[in-house]
Amino acid sequence: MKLEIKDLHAGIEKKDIIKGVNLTVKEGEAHVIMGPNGSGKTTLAKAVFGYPGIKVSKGDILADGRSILPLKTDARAQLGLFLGFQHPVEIEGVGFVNFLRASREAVSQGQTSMKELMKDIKLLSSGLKMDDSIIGRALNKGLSGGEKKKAEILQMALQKPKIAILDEPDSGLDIDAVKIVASNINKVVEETRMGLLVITHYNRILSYMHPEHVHVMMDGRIVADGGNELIDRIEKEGYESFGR
Amino acid sequence: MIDQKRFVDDALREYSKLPGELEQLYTRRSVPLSIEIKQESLPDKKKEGVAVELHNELHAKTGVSFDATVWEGGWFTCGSPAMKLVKFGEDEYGELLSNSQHKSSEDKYVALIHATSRQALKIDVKDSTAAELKVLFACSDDPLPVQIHISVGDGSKLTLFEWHASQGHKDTFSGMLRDIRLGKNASCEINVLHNEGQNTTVLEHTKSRGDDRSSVKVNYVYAGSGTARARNLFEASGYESKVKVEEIIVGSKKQKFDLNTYVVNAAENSEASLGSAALAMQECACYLKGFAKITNGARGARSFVGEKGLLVDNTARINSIPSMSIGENAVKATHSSATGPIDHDSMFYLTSRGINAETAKQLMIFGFFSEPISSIKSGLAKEVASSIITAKIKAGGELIGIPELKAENTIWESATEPGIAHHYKYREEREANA
Ligand SMILES: Nc1ncnc2c1ncn2[C@@H]1O[C@H](COP(=O)(O)OP(=O)(O)OP(=O)(O)O)[C@@H](O)[C@H]1O
Ligand SMILES: [Mg+2]
Repeated sequence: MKLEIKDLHAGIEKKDIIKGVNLTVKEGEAHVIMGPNGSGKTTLAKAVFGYPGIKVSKGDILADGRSILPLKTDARAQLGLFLGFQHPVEIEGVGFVNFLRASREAVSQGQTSMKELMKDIKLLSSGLKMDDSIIGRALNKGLSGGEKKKAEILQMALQKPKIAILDEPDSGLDIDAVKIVASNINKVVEETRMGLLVITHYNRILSYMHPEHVHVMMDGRIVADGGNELIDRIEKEGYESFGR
Repeated sequence: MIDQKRFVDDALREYSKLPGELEQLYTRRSVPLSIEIKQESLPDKKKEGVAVELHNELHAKTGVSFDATVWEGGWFTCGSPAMKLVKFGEDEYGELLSNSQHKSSEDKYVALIHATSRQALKIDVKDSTAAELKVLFACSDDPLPVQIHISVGDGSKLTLFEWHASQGHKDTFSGMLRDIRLGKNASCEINVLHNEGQNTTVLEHTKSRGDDRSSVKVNYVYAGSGTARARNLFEASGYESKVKVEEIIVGSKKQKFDLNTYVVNAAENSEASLGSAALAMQECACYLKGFAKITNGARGARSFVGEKGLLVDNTARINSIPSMSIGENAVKATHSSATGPIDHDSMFYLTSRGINAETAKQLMIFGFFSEPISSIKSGLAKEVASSIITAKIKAGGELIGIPELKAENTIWESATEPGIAHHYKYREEREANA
């Protein structure tokens, strides 16, 4: 799959937030977006998934050359897109396993064997060093910040998307957990050759992932594209030197 | 001994004298309730025929065997020593009336049921025994006013499942005065399922008292009827006694629910809690008034009232009004109330995983009810309640007469919450018995 974001302008209510973003992610590629708080990273990610509150005023988002803007959120996921949330939502009473089953059935368009699903979940949760008790819980309910982030990775690994956008998969994780999460992401990449777009504030996770494309986002625009040298520059100089 | 005819005449007088609804609640949207006492009535044979038919259909579709089916003129029963039907004119009927916790003068509709009922279902679980009873209430186009007197002796245990299933073709009412008493260390779970047709108005009154260390759990499910009005009072009146009430409401198609429940801590170390969960759509209106009271002297009492509402569209309305009155210091009391539409961010999260909007909505609705449903102990009651909710939601709010109890029908079936184990267990038991 090739995901193209073309001259995208988008906002929430009357406020313009994304102000002309161009970005292309292909299967097999790893991209990173870094940028200051409030620069529009999460809004961009949600726009790709058709978040109802976000209005696209100009530009387009294409998957393999076709606009996905007319598609509902679920249809975009069914194309093979995955969004790892910065703030995963807690949903009362919806069993985690039940939810995973509904999701798997929706994406694969078929019946799911509970046995297989449980086997997959157990394997992944142990790989992520997650407590088994998550299986019996309601979706994200009562999970710690770090556990929620691991649960997002578990969902990604189950879904096997073509392109995954991960919005701060490392925030709130302890040092060991960052490593575990990164290696689990890498494992899915190796298995599926999926494309990655990781949003992050920290280079620790990047040191395990070696993305080849780095983008800097400020005030709703991509102000720099490059490689690892950008990460070093941000580390040394902060975002000010990218200012317009 | 009470003069039964006079009792009825007095009740009739109260009925015509008492005002219908006076609460301020009704200023914005009223629940008009005017019920006439009609003289003409269907012949008994016909009424019984309707009940027999309903019973047979229900049994065929669900496999549930009832211990008794109560209709307007009597009952038919497979028999249980713990239960009998007492008729107007019998001495025992007079005895029940004089001991009743309900008074005609307290409420117009209590008076109505006193004035019109001619039979009482008496459930008497003798000391240190256990009973599990299933009763079907089936009325035709005529009203079914009935008194239900439940007494659970010291150290005894009762599990009761009441299925109110009337499907009248004309406007009618189904009225019940439920009088519950528990002895020392007695416990009961009562599951009341209202799944009447749209033409039926439900008038429900429950009063309950329990002796030391008794425990009463009552689960009400309101899925059917056009209008349901309940006035309930549960008193944890014995030392360390417990009361737990759950109200589950699934409202659609202009249904109206007006539920007013008091839970009272009247003794030391008593526990009283009320949980209401209401879903409303399609111009349904719900008034949930939960009231917790802790009387003076009830030291160490624990009290909880939680009301929550889910508005599936913007034509429905839920007013939830929890309140408290605390007359003792050393107690723990909490209440909460939250009503809102389906959460956008939850919807986005679920659909971002490929789940379509309709399924996502259903998942959240079942999630909303998951806690009260899993608190139901009786496997049968749990299964019936979840089947009815599932069927009603999947049918876009249509009232479901008789649900099919199929595993696929219940989304809970595949969940892994602890409560679900009972569900399976019941199913296995049923298969083993077949
Ligand atoms: N629902 C909303 N209503 C109004 N403004 C919003 C809304 N959501 C986001 N914004 C605004 O849009 C801008 C971009 O927010 P966004 O969440 O995309 O930033 P971000 O780059 O992800 O920041 P962070 O690094 O802190 O996560 C911010 O100014 C924010 O206040
Ligand atoms: Mg963000």
